[in-house]
Parts: sequence; C-alpha cells; structure tokens
Amino acid sequence: MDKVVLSAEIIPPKGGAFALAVKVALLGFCAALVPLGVTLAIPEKDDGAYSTRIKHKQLARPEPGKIILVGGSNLSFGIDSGRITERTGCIVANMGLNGYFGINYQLGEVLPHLRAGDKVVLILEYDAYLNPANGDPTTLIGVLKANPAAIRYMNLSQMGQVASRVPLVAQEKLSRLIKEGAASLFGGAEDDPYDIIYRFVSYRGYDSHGDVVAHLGTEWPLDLKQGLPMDKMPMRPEVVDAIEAFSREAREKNVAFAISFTPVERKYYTKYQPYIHAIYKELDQKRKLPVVSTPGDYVFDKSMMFDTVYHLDAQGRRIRTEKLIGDLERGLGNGLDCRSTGAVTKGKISS
Amino acid sequence: MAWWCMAFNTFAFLLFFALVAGVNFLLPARLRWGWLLAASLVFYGWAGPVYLIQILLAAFLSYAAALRMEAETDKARKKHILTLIVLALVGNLFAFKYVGFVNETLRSLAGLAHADYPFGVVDILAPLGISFYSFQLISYVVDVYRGAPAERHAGLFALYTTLFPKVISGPIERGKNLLPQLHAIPGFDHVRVAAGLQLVAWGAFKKIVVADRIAPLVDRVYDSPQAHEGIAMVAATFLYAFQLYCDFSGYTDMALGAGAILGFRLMRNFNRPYFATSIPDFWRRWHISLTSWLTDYVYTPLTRIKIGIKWYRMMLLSLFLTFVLSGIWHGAAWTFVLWGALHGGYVVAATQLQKPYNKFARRIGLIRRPDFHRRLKIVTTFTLVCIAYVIFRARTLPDAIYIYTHLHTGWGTAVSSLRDSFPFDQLVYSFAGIAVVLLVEIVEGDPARAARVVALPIWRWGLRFGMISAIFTLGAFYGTGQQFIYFRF
Repeated sequence: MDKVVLSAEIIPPKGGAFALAVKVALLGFCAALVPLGVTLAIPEKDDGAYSTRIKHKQLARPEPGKIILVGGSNLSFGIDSGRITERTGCIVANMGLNGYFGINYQLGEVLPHLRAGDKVVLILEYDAYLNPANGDPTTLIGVLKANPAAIRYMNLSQMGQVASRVPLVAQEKLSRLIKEGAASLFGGAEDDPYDIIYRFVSYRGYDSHGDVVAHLGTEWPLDLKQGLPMDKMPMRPEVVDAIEAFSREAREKNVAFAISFTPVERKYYTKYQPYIHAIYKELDQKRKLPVVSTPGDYVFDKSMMFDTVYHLDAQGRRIRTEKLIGDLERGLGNGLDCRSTGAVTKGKISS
Repeated sequence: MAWWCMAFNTFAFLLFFALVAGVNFLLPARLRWGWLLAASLVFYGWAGPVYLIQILLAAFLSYAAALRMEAETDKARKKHILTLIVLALVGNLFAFKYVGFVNETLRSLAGLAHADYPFGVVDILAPLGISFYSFQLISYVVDVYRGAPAERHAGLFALYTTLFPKVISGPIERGKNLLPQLHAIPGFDHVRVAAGLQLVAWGAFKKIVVADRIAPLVDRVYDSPQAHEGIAMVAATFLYAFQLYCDFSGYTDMALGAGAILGFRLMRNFNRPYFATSIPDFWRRWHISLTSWLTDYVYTPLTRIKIGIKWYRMMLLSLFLTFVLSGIWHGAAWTFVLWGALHGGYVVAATQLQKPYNKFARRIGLIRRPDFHRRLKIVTTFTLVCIAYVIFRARTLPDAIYIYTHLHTGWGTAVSSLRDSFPFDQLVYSFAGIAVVLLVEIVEGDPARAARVVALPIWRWGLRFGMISAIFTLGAFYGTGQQFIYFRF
C-alpha cells in the first residue's frame, strides 16, 4: 500500500486498541445521527400523520363504552363518527389513518388504552391482509415524527426496520428538495399527480373524532387508485394471527370485539371476489372470529367512491355509516348502546 | 458467477471482518496464519464450498510444481514442468470462463455458413476470482522458474492464494511482495489499523455513495440505448467511467484497508488514472497489478520471440496483442476483445505518433504553456478512454455501434433530453459524488498540500465525519448496482 488517502500515517494517532475502538464508535454514532437529523429537519409532503394526536386524544377520553374503530384510511374517509355517537350515545375514536401502518401497529396502539366495556371494531382494507403485519417502516417513521410516544406501540422488529429505513427516508427527502429546486429553476413539475390527495388528508382535514371531512362535497379529478392485485399476492397468515391474538386479549380485558369489512368499489370487488371471500372464510369460519358482516355488504358503485377503491365520498360515507351501525347493533346487541350507562351525557358534555 | 458471495459492502462482511481482525490481534503470532487461512476459506467457501476444491487444487498443484522446479537441475525438465503447470492453470481458466464464449462463436460461424453445429449451449458457473487467482499462481510459478525461492510452507502458500481481502478481485499479488509478509504477520498497531480503517471507509464511500448511485443511471441508458438521445448516451458514458472507477478502486481500497488492518501491505492498484496524460500513462495508473502482470508475463516474453520481424515492429505487435489479451481477460465476449484491441490501437498509435505530435505541439506553442498542455492531454486521454468504454459497457456489439452512430443527437434540446433520461436528483447526487472523488485526488496529487490539510484536526476529523455520514445518509443501500463490477471478471 503506497498511499493512504487520509491522515492516519501523517498524523500518528495516540492510544491503543481501546482508544481506537472508542473513537471509531463515536465517529460512527455521530455520523449515523446525520440521516436522522435530515429526516427530522425536512418536513413530510403532508402533515396528515399529525392527526394521530387527535385520534389518541379521543382514545384517551375517560367515558366508558367507547367505540374504537381500528383499520386504515377506509375508516378516516368513510365513517361519520358523529353520526355513530348520535345513534349509540358512545364516544367514537376513529383510529383509521393509514393501512401501511400494518396490523401490529394498528392493534398495538389501541391495546394499552382499552378499558372494560369498550368496543373495538376492526375494519381493514383488503390490501392489509396481503401486506406485512409489521407495516411499512417509512410510513411508521412519519407517524413517529408526529408522535414520538408512538414508539411504545411498536415491537422490536418494527423498531429495527424503522431504524434501518431512516437513511432511505433521508435520501427521499433530500431528493424531494432537489426536485423541487429543479422544478423552480427549470420549470415543469416532478410531482406525482396523485399528490393532490395531500390537500384532503392534511391535519386540518380531520374533525375532532378523527374523521377526514375535507373531501366531503368535493370531486376527485383523477381516476380511482386501485388496490393491490389480490390474484398475485397471497394472504398473510401473520395478519390473521395478530387479529386472533388481539381478540383473545380483548376478551380478557372485557372489551367487545367485532370485525367488519371495508367499503370497496364494485369493479374491484368483482375482479377479486374469490380472494376477498377467502379472507372472509378465514376470519369467520376457520378462525371463528367475531365477524359481524360480509364483504358483499359493503360494495359501492364507483359514483360513491372518492380517490381510491376503498375511500368513500360524502354519499357513500353516509350509507356505509348507517350500514355499519346496523351491523354492530346486530352483532353487539344492547352492548352497543351507551345511553343506559350515562356515557352519552358525559360524552356530549365533554365534546 | 456466484453473486451471493460475502462482498465487502455487506453487513455480513462487516461482522465477519470484525471477528477475524479481533481474534487475529488476540492470537499469538505463530497462530495467526492458521486463523487467517481458516477465515479465508470460510470467506471463499461462503459462495459455495464446492469452489474451495478448485482453488485449493490449483494452489496445491502450483505449490508442488514450484518445489519440483526449484529442486530440478535440468533446465529442459524445469521448463517442461513450468509448461505443464501453466497449461493446467490456463486450461482451468479457459474451461470455466471461455468455453461458452468459444462455443457460441463457433455456433454463430456455423450458422453463417448454414452448417449444422453439434453442441448445445454451454453455461458454466465460473468460480469467484478465477481470473485473479489463476494469474497470481501463474506469476508465482514463472517467478520460481526464473529463480525466485519457492514457498515451502504449504499452509502459508494456501493463505497466499486464498487471502480473503484480495482473493475475489485482486490486486493480483506477486509472491515476492506477499509471501514474506505472511511469514511474520504483525499484531495490533494503532497507526496501521487507523490508516486501514480510513482506507476501508474511503473505499466504501466510492462504492456505496458514488458507484452504486450512478449504476441505475448508466443501466437505464445502456440497457435500451434506442430509447435515448445521444447527449444522454454521452452523459451515461461519462458517468460509467466514474462508476467503473469508483466501483473497482473502491473495492481495492477496501481490500488494501482490510489488508492493512490485518498487517499486510497489498499491492497498489490505482494511481489517479483519470489524470493520465496519455493512454500508456493511463495503463500505468489503472489496474496496475494487471498491467504490470501483463507486462512481465506476456508483453516482455512476446517481444523476445524471434519470428523474423524487426524488434520495433515486434514490440508494437506485442503491445497490441497484450491489450487484446487484457480485453479477453476482462470477459468472454467480443465487446471485451474489441475494447482491448481499441486500447492496443491507442497505445500503438501513441507510440508511433509521439514524435510528430511533439513537433506539432512545439509549432503551435503548446510546449510554452505546460499547465494548459497537460490539462489538454488529460481531457484528450479521458475522452479516448470514454470512447472505448462504450464497447466495454454495451450489452452487445450492435448496441455499441448504435451508440457510436447516435452520439450526435439530442444536443439541441440538451436539458429536456437529459431530464427525459435521468432523474434530476440522482444526477445531482452522482455529479456531487464525482466532484468529491476528483477533489480528493487533486489534493492527493499534491502531497504537501494534502499534509497541510490533514494537519489541522478540524479538517482531519471533519473529513472522516463527512465521509462516514455521507455513507449513512447518501449511500445507495437500496436498488441496483450493489455488486462489484469486477467480480464478474
């Protein structure tokens, strides 16, 4: 070796193996903080993840018998929580935000807050049965940034995945800045046209229950975004295992648990009906989980969808909410009504 | 080729190396060679234990042949042994690397002649690093034939052949450099280990931050040149020059750094090749261990062959043939053969045109402006190297021809043509990485300035911090381009 690029041979370092190991470790640690700093310093494309704070505020409310809706964005776009409260007298925490959080996080974030008498309704998009139970680390970084305390809802494996994804998120953010800079210098737009969704899922687009309301009464200008190709991706047993485990824990906590189905656009449903039915069969017949409806109950025409095959517009949202209330009344019986327990009054007063 | 080996840019290698180096420092000196041999066998066998048989067999035959030659007093018998072992090593290399190529060429020729061809497709998986270790063993037996001492310790010779920092992609070590070092493997030394770590980090920067970042941009154009304008092809070729350099020199720096940590001074392989002022100068700076190997074991013997050609012409012919062989060494494809031939042509032309060029340079006054003249020669040399890279990188010969004949297109709409072909952010990353590499090499070219820079702790630590944080923040850990290019050679 004739030449070393940097200085070690020119400036003799001091100390032994331990001193060198400490220096290398310190240097590595400080350098690893750089991508984290970039990730934290550069804002996300949208501030929708901050709505998790609204949802947790609602979840932490002291009234007994809360209805906690767990799932992805089908819930935030397609549920009128205020209407459910009106009909049942129960406080509703609509936790639905992003399907890419993964089932482990979605269930993990409500479990510590459950109290006897609460009612958990799980409604996942069909994509969620095909995606990893640990979710997408990039999406989880977004929610962690909005609510650092959410780290406690993650398992060790998720934390590892999130940590290893930080450099990629940092790179994506830097790339976004460069693209934006280029667009302002040379003109033209590098943005994905679908980015207009951020107008609707911004933090300000949510109401106090955790429902998205910004899209109500507006028209979506693009084609519907499709779900995953269900014929090409197998259902993940780990997702149903997680639901089964949650069902047991809910029972132990004396919490009512029900599973329903996401609204879905008719064409998509028709195309993947056998695969959707397989999910239903797995939940209802094989695992004997408390399913209160069938997938076919929530099939909607394209005219009632908003931007994706899972997101409803105002009309669809109204119909779906009434349908869900009916299903829950049948599935949970008197347990759905909070008026007899006095929760209504408390709930209404505090809201 | 087994692509799933333990490459230097993987987490598995990081753990492996930390364990190997740590235990190596703790062991008494007499046990270190055994530990490093075991580690090297694990490293090489990682891609498939079956490959170990071949490399160890080649090592054993070379070891035995060298001892036999050393003991032999009869010159003719000595030469006979040398011929046999060299044929065995070349035959082994040929069988695994070139049979498929020859078969395909013969099949094409038979097709052109509308004749039947009896053999099917031959697809042989070449063992990792076969080109490198074969050349290393050939140089060893030839050196012993020429009078160098043969290694008597079979274990050390096995370690010489399989030493993991250099077994897959070189440098192509010589016995006289490495074997004496294996007899006295040193323990921990702060200065040496710190220097080695820095070199590993710098190599990782070049590979992960620069080469792997560029790789998808080059692939995009070279995988379908018909879909791009000429200006994008020019940009892709320029980028490929740095992808290849940063990939291979990054690997070499990591190999040299890892070797330094363990106590070895491996042979230098690169010396700022893109600052070369002529093609012969480029080859004195690029893949030095291969060039010097070809000079010692191919070019020089060729010039001594007496076939009735005048010495000067024989020298030019030998130069040309040596470069063709260099092309063949790089890969079993006609593109590599032509690339070697083109460089051979460059070198022959440079030798022939030296005097008229000097006269011309004097006449137009270039000699009076040495700095400008040197820069002009650097740019010209780099351009010639890039022209040859088109053949080297193109998937097929028709692709290369297409690129050469369309380089003039798209210049009128430069910005939009480039934006159509490359994501802007990736271009920015790539050019920033190239700028850093060139800047470091400019400083390297002036040792006094380099010493002044690193004398200040803030610069020293700033550079180290910048290098490692760039790897963490900008490293292309995701997507294509993670394998070392020279693994396939």
